[in-house]
Amino acid sequence: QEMSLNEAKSAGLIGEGRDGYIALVQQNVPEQVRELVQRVNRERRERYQEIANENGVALRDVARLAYARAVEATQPGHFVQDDQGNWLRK
Amino acid sequence: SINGKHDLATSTGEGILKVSSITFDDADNSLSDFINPLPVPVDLVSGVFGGEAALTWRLPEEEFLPVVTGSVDFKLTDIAGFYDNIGFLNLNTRLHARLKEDLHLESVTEEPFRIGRLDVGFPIEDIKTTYRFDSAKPAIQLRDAEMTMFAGRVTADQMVYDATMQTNSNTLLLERIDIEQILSISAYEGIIATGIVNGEIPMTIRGSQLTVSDGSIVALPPGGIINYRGGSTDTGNNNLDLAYGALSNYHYSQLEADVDYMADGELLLSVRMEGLAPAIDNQRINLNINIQDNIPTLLESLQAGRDIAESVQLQQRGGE
Amino acid sequence: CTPTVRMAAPEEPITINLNVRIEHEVRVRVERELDDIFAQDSDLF
Repeated sequence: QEMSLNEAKSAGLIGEGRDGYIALVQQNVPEQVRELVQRVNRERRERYQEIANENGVALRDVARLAYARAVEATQPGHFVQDDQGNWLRK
Repeated sequence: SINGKHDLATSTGEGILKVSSITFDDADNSLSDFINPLPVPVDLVSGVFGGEAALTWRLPEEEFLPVVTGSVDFKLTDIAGFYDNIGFLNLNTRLHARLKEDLHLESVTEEPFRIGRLDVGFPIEDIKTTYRFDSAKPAIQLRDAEMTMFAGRVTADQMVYDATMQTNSNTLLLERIDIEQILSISAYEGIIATGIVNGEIPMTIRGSQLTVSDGSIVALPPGGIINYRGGSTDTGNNNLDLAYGALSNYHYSQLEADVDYMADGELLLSVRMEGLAPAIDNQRINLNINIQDNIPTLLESLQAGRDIAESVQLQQRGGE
Repeated sequence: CTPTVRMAAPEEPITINLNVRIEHEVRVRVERELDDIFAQDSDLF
């Protein structure tokens, strides 16, 4: 049964990347987690693109603002990437 | 506690309403826990409120609502909370006012008013002033106001908002405001600029509208630098390339700006700088930039980015 | 050391005029729309 995003985050396998997408916090993760990351990021990119098109801004800017929102919404104990790319536990 | 007496014959009476100190905290002793729903989007999550009101009342014959008058004297100590999307910490003041027949309050004396930190989307700290108000007009008068903003000081010897008065004007003085701090707030990502400025901002309040005309800002020596990497330098239009080239690394020695603020919230800055562009062989450049920025929308975008209740509690515990 | 003299004295200053309009409305709208997708698609965020 596929691991949920929240479970993968709580297990410390993945975290909120500084580019607005999910990223692996460590490399040796089960295949299903890699698939989860790809699926989530693909759907996020679609959502960001819709917002970008509606507001006439670059996808990168929407993703960057999404990152700021994701950091704020991240639960204590989950991983967040800082601007230099280091993984920090909130 | 209330103690007083009521004379049935004349249906008049008087009494002292004493509020021994109420302590707010964010573990279900906030104002919204005592009074729910609150008429105004405000909540107080820490601090002490106490004092007393000396009231007299009479019940006019055909009325069923008593007419209450008297005086109130309450102290607010180290109050933290938020009003709408604006958070405040360490608010200290005294509410010393006359309660009038129309249930309006009017200051009896001018009282000190302090806020340690006000968060309007960016922090304004060490706010000190004296105030008096009349809720009937409504009007509020501040005297000797000062505050710290963007590492500099903003002062005004007198600020009056009086709905019944035609206009009220006075001047804000800016001392040693740090441009780098202004541009570090999240709304201005992508541009870096340094420099310390002083300024005189003549403000006019007409009804509820605030406007500024012919304000002036001047940079202190030695000036500062501007780094804007957003523009590309091969747009095919060499004026634009030159402009973006200059902006990517511009060192100014002189900066003056005219400041105008419209009633609809548009801030107009016409900035004149003298300096040079090291990347273009130290070419001397006079750079004039007209900047237009809508302040209410700026504040909304800054405030939209955070949950005010959480940010007040976070700041209270020292965590930024 | 021998002092080096730079001859390339910069000529007359060039004047550049720019008009800048800072757009916040877009940012507020984008943030609101992001709030919505954060709230709706809890399996994405």
